[in-house]
Amino acid sequence: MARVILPGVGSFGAFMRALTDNGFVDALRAATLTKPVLGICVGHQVMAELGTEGGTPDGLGLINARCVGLRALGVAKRVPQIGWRVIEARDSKELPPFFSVIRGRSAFFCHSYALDSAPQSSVVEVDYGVRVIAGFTSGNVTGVQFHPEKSQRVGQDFFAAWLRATE
Amino acid sequence: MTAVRILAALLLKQAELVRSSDFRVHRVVGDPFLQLDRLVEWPVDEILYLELPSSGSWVASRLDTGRRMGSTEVRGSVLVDEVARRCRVPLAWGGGIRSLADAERLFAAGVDKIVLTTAAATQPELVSVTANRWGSQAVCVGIDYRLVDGLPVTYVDSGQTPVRGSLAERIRHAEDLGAGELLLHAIDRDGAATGMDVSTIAEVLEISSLPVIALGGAGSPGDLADAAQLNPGAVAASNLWHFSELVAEAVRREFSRRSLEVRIL
Repeated sequence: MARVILPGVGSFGAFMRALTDNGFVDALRAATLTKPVLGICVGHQVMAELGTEGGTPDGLGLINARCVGLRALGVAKRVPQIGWRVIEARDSKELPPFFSVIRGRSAFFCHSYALDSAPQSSVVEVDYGVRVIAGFTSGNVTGVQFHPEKSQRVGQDFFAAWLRATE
Repeated sequence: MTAVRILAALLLKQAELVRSSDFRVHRVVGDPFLQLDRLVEWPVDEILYLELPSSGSWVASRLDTGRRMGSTEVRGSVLVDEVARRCRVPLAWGGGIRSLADAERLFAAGVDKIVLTTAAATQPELVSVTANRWGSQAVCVGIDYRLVDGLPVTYVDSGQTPVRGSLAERIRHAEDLGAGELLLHAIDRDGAATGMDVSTIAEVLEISSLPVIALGGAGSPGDLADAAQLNPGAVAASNLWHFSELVAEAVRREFSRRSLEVRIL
């Protein structure tokens, strides 16, 4: 197995229970040591230490973050956030190619929760009244809140760049 | 203001794509995949398939698609699997979903969100169970309504059965159950192209903080823009997509002309 992709759709608590009950948790943690891992939507959220959807379930704990409701992050607009939003860089640091190729273009978001912090390395954000984490990459682990598989050409460009970057 | 989604609602009856009016008159306009394949190349923000109840039957076959008309079988897989496989934009699915197994089947196929209309009224626990498992963002509650003496009356069973309770009560109920979106569908504007019911849409946006998909009545890009100016989650049309040339671009142009945000491609 060369790479691991952990896709959505799901609720944090139910998703973690399914991973735990099927014995995936240790395998996923081990995989991050040697293989590129990409989480999408809830697959990105469960990389946090814990969530607040469906109780306060433990996450995989791959990054130092929590997954909290958009309201708790200060979002005043309609929740869930459902729509196409522009991917923006958090700061002037250089982005990996799979983020730079989609920067300034729109990807599809559909979520009520988001990470409250992300590793300092490379972070992209989305402006939904307040800035919300749209994706991060740190070592082998990359997570995206948006749905590249539903984002037409933008998503295809993201996947192509991620596959090249992790060859 | 954030970009309001522009959504194509594709209506299926016995697995054929139909044009609809007043929830009663349905005319086959073509193969569900041919239209999908066009739409996913366009700047359409989301696609919603709504399965209408079957009545009567017909038997025919299409040699071009290898699909038996009226059958949900397509080259050995069922229609939703084939749709989800081809769909590269967000995909919502509604119509006839009555059990957790139905929901499970659709999500397993790759549907992002299901729409529960009749079930939300007759077996509300299905809304909460689905929201707990797949998240609120994956459950949209459909509210079909007609204006009777100027007041909205909501219906289930494809517009056949009126539901007790006001529009506001139905919305609150959907919110309490954990729905993440509302599909507001104006029955008396279905297929009428008389413009969208902006006053009821505005009323719903006032009542709820959920994203709302407004559907029914759009006969032109301007009609969609009228509703988009209220800043709901999404504006939707069905028939418009079948009969107008390059309609997605026309809608985007009309939005831009009125300084409404559209998706940056």
